[in-house]
Amino acid sequence: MTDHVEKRRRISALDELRAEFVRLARAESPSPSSRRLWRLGVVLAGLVLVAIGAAAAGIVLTSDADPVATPQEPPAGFAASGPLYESLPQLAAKTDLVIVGTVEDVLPPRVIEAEDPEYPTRDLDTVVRVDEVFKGSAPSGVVTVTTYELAFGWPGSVEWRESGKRVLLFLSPSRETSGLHILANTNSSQTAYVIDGGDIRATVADSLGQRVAALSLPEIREAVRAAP
Amino acid sequence: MSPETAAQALRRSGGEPEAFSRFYDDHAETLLAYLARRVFDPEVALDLTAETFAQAYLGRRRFRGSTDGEAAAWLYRIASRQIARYFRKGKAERKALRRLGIETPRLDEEQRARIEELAELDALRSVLRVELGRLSPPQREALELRIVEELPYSEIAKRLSISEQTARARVSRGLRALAAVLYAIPEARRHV
Repeated sequence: MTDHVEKRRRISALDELRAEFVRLARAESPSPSSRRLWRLGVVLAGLVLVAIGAAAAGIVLTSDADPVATPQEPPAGFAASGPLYESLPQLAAKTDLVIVGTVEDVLPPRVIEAEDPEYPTRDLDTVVRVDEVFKGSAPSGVVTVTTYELAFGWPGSVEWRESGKRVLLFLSPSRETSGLHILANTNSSQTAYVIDGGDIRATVADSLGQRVAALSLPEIREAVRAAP
Repeated sequence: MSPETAAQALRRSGGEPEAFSRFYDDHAETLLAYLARRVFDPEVALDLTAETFAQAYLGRRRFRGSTDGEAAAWLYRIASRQIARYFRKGKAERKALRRLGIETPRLDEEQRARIEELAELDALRSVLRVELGRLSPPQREALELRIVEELPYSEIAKRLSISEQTARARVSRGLRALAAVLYAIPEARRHV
């Protein structure tokens, strides 16, 4: 934390900006006593709800930390723009096509919105030759995956849309364009992996992505095929 | 007990807004450098950084992740949208900043230089000098004046006999055209 403050001091504008957020937060924060009361209320309400739920349905709560745990619930939450899944079978169950393949071509960007014609929003169509299907079918042996141009390539992400890259993809058919596929959740995380020799790398390093990437391809294949 | 991560702080900031500063501390400088390397303009980069954090502050209760990677991904998605809007419109959005009543701090020369140094813009400039040849003459001219000669927009407008807004638009359009090159430069991904 000291390092952060030390480095940040070198750009005073960031300090000033930070001070603005602290001021806002202080204005918005409840007082310590009301915060304690609020927390107590939340805990009590939660306990009551759990008791009612368990009594009514006989639910047994289980840990969700295992990436190959059996799926029980729909997507666990929503990130900036799509569902996040908590386990590999849960993701696989919601995915129509799971493939290992090799990127053959990345087509020129396709304009999807041109409110301002000079600065359009664009999609990239990536042509992937299918080497193996873990789930679903790809009769032509090739799938074309469409993604938002800026969905990858930011810090912390790995770009997979490059010719020659071997990839593991969780896909669904595009609802907008017949013949195209999209990544199976719209925020693009958890659904695209780069295979580099024996290593698997998550293109977006969220918790499930990291856990899936730690598995071997045979383990992933087995988990996907066992999913409902 | 292990120290709180940025992701935990962000989650906690939903009920305790002061925890947002911990998340800010973890990402502010890196995000500023990342944005500066994409727009080549310390002031615009600071504007985009401020708007990104303002949107993150307003939307912090929607964050559902648990790891620092998820928190970073969430923040950089917001930032990517800001960059795309900037390239489309030629100016940084200030919607969330206005809503929160935040004024973006002004930069003096020393601060501008510090941001340039942080983002290592000099190294990128030498690569761009080569790539500028791909652009249309008006875009190339505006970009050269802005990025290579580092002139302010008012001076570029004067030299090219165009409005300042047009100068900004030509520069942002040129940067957009060079985006593929910028993203392909390994150093551009170093600030993670």
